[in-house]
Amino acid sequence: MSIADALPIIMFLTLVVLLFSGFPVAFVLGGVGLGFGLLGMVFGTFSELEFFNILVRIYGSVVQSYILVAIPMFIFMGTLLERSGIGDDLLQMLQRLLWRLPGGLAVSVTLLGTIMAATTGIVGASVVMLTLLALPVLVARGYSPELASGTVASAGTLGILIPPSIMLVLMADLLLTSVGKLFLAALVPGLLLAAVYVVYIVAICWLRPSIAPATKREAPLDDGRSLLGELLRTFFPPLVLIFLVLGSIAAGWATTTEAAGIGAFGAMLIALTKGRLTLPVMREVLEASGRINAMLFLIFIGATAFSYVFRALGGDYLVEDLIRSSGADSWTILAGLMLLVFVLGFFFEWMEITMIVLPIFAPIFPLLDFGTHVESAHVVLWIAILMSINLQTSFLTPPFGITLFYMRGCTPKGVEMSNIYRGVIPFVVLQILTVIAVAAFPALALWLPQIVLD
Amino acid sequence: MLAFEKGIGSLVTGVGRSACWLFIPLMALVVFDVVGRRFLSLPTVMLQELQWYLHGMLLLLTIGYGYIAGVHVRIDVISQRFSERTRLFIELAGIALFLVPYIGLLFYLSVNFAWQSFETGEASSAAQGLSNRWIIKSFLPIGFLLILLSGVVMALAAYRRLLESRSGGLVTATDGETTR
Repeated sequence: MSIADALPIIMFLTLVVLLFSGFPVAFVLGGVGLGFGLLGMVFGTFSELEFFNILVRIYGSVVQSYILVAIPMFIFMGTLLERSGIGDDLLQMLQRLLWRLPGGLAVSVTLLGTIMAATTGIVGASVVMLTLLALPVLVARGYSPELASGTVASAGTLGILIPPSIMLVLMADLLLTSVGKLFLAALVPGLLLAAVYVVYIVAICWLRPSIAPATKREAPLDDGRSLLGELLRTFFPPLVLIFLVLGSIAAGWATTTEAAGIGAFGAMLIALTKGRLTLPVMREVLEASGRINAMLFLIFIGATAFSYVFRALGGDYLVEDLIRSSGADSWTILAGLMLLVFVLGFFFEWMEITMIVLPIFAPIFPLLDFGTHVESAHVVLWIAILMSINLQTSFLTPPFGITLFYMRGCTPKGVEMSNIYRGVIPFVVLQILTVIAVAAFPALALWLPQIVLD
Repeated sequence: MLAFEKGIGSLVTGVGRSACWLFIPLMALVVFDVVGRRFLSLPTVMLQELQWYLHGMLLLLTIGYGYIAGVHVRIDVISQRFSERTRLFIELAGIALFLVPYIGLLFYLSVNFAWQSFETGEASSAAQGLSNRWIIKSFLPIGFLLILLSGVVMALAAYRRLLESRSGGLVTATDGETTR
């Protein structure tokens, strides 16, 4: 193999090394793309004119995209909901309903995370909200710091898997598949994961009552009518939002972008009616949304240069050849890919993995053959869902789990980082088990889109 | 020097923070598109194009601000163990070797890209789409220029801190950290 042929490999390795410099990922991606474009010119495998194509591609795929407008709308919606006070009300209500259950408070937190996940598409907001809202309460009630932080971290990250989710919008864009289909396919696995968390929490609290003291009865519940009223008042706004956003996409009434815009509007109305939306809060919400949006799309701009040059230098043929010549069967390739995503998750987040790894491996997805296990038409969708569940682990695996990073800033007294590291392990194991379950039973992901869309 | 750094910094930040308000017209436009379409026969192509126009402006005008505000993702698992000085050197090197060449190239190319669009009077390929494509395309060079300026601000800040750390007055870096 000549140096020119090996350039894509050298390029990838250079990227990995330079990313650890701590300089913003997006600029490293762009710089490495540019550098290897120049190297390619030296070796005659890249032409100067192609740099212009990078710009055209950035304009075409990042700016001129109606579908991607859904992402800022979901971000805006999530940031609004975080500040709307909806979370406080829901948590109190869930606590009152579940006080009898072993680990009832932890289960409440997981359920709150699930509801928030189904209303918003981003993770940062839910994690910070749950950490501030629920972690101090859990610790104060005598829950072990490990269980408390594991619960909060895992519940907070459900947002990226359970639709609507900006990760799924981005994946659909990169895999040239429909967002609605991906949303529907992720719904059952996402809820399954949440259910697995709940079962685990109840079981462990029942087996080891010392880590989760029984909760004293909350405010009296005897007045059935007022409880019903409160139930309605608390659950109505988020349920309407879920119905509006997910329902209208599933029913084919609205495009993802429309649903996201309507969702943002709804979130704004909720925040307004709760009296939380003062002008300073509004400005904070807008600026926080703007920063998250800028962060995400800058990676896109950097990754566009990287993957364009990587492909132009023959990178995708190289990956294909390497995989072909290894003689591995489809299952081994899939397992290898899943392992790669899992390992990368220790250092990177879903954003980098989705935008760097997905473009490199996406061309081989349709070539994989799983016989009758998964019809060839559904392979790409199935793998995307497996990857999405797998990417959940990237939030929780130290040393660089973004959730741990969020939590680091706002943990109450009595919770150390080491508690958090230990606390997330069982939840990471549950995530891996869920990946295996969806791999073994593809219907978990493929059934819903089939019955709804066909 | 400090005044220059502060001045450019507040320009980039000011533009970015103001641009964040674009979320509201963008949301209003989406809602109007959904609701209005039911009652009025509006060309939805035009409204959808207007939506990505607004988002294009929003994101291009906020990226530089994001860099100064320290939101862009960094892999700091190793670099957090480096000394303050090493991190500042890396920041300077990164700006000189990655940010300026890459964003500079995009800036240079996008000026031509927008100019071509203006000269040829480029319009949407859809019949009911918007004309004057050059308007949104000229936000590309504006956005890239803002990122370049944010790079200048961050480089000056890193240089200043390096000097300060040499003269003994160690200042802890806070702006550069990820605050997501």
